[in-house]
Amino acid sequence: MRVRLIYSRRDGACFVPHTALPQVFSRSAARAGLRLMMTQGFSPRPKFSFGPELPAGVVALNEPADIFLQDTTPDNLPERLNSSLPEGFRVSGATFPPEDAPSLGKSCIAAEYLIRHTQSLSLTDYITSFYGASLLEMGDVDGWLRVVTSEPSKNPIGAFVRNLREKSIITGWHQLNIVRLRVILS
Amino acid sequence: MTEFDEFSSPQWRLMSQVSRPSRYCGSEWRPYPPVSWDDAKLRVCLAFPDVYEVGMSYYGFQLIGSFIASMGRGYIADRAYCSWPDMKELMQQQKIPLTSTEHKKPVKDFDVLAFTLPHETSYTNILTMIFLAGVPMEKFMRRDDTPLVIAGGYGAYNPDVMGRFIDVFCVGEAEALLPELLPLIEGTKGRPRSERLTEISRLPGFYVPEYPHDGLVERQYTHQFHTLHSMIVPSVGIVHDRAAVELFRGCGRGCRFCQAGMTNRPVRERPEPQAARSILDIVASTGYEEAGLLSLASCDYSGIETLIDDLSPVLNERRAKLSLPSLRMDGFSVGLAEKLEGIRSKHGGITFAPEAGTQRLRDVINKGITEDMITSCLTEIFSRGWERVKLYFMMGLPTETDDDLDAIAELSHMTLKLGRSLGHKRTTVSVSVSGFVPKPHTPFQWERQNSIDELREKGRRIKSQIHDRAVSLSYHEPEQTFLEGLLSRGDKNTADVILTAWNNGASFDSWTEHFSLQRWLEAFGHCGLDTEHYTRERQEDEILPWDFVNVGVSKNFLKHERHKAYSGKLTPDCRISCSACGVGCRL
Repeated sequence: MRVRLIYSRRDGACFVPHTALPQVFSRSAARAGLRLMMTQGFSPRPKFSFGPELPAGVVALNEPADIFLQDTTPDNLPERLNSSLPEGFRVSGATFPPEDAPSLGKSCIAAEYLIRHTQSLSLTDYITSFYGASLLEMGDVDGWLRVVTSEPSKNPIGAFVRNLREKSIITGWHQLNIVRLRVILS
Repeated sequence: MTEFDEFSSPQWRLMSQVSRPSRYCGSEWRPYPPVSWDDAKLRVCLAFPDVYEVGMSYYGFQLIGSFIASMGRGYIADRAYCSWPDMKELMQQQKIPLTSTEHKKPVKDFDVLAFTLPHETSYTNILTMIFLAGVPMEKFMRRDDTPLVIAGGYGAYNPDVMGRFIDVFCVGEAEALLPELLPLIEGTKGRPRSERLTEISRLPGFYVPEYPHDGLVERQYTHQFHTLHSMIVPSVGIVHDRAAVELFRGCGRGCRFCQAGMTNRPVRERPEPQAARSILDIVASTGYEEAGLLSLASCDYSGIETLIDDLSPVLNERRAKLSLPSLRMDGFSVGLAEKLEGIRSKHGGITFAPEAGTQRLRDVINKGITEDMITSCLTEIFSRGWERVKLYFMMGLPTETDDDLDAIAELSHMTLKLGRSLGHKRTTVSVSVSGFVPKPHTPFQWERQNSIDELREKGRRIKSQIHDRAVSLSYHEPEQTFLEGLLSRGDKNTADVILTAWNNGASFDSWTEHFSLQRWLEAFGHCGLDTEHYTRERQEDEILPWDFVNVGVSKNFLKHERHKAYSGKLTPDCRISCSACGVGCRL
């Protein structure tokens, strides 16, 4: 049974690499007593689908992940997972996509970010020129720049940061604060 | 909704600028509710002198952390790891001190900074951590409210090497030592440092370099070792990312080069039902997919078959498996390995440690395996379907000749031939050879250590005799082996060398990319010390720097074993026949 989780990553958990997420969730599920569906093949592993990759050091508030349970879903799934997830991870909701729903990867159509430069440098022009037509919305919110881009897996936020570095506008990640507010699903 | 605390933390800023920030992020699942910092009766920071992914793989801290919690006295047992050089530099520049993993508190705010001394090439990292914590390096500069810097582990068996930096050495096992030490530290809070240290020095098993007492420091051990029912699970990959259960402590085999075998006697087994319960509890509570059966030679555990048979069905159900870290070279062990791994994992290969190429030399080191055992063991593994074999050897062992070295290549080719003759065309043999380091409290503690050139020449000799691409040879850097030897049998003066080398930039000496032998040679020169003095053969009537530590086995026993080594005489496993080593477990 497919379950779509919405979870957040705060504090140190923002530095857990994307590649470590399957293990974090599979062990958490095991601690919560949930049995996951396994992939086929030579070395079966729990089946997962995660949202578009985030680079280390980005706070994420509403990230999607599909897990596949062997049994029927318990009522209190978010609570059960939350008591077994590592520090910094928190599940806020679980939904059940219909049988014929497209995969999570195909469903992530846009992403909403908050971005600011630690010395209040305006990033508006850089964002506009870097994202071009992929920039769907942009505006100021409480000292942050709120940015919505399309197709987050094709337009990763990490590429924007690298671009700023290459242009010597910033010297490194520590000069930016980035939050992904949510991944927008179709 | 637009304020995010994490961005204002200094650690966040640091992590955003370093390589592999995940090793500092502290995201973990922990099996216990946090002890409140303010309410804690005592705050202990367990400090591992290497990076997180290495230190977090260390079973000892899982055990000690859980043991301190089980004391039920409201003590905090947090952890700290060594910062990689890029992080160290940033912390220095920005004046941000070393913080603990769980409570994220400056290490300097703890009552106790407790190091483990896992191997000699980690010693400079201890200085890095003391420095980054903001604790004075020199003991006379430490104030009454500076954390007590304590250390345990193998390095505590030759404590003077690090004695300049460590306030208290804990000689032996945590379960025997900490229930004495920690309440005393708690009860003497606020009193002058010198008074507290004097009191600690009167307890058995503790060595306080400033307050030495007459007589030996006796290693303390327990028959009631602590049982884990869960473990801390890191969110990021570590070196040994699995559950771990200690089946027994000590080893009765009596390999003459082995410090662990000599210093952990007597053999004490955990009852099989207790081990089984522990594994099931840990796997269920942590979600780990694998549980390692830890011990010095786990196949020797008397309940090993029962344990595997009891657990396999339950673990299979959970898709978890057991693993053995090392295998004995006999049919029994191969049978166990097959039970554990199944056909599927045979691609992973199988590892053995014959240690020496000839039977003569294996008898010298009391390895306790014969040519026949090796042949039948190898035949067994190939017949059961394995085709990748890894073999561990040592070079530079006492009495070694060219014949012994040549035999390493011969044995490796023989293994390959055997595999091919049993139908495995794709047989591969990986041979790993490391330089022998004489260790304190072993029968070989008096032996001369080979020079770098000797070891390199020996490595070349073996390599030149390997002429099949299916056999691969790797040998450990002789420079690092050399340093390990210098520090392992060091003395009070060695501490000055360590400080000098550290001041000149030495750190992470077990990491090839950071190690510089030149820096160490200069440090020895600067301190007016000759490296030869430390690698030379010691006289049997000489007072050795570690003689004042009694680990249990007597010096007479060690001498006797050394003489037996020279005449190639074997000493049986002490579980079969007591060899009166001095531990006195049969009395």
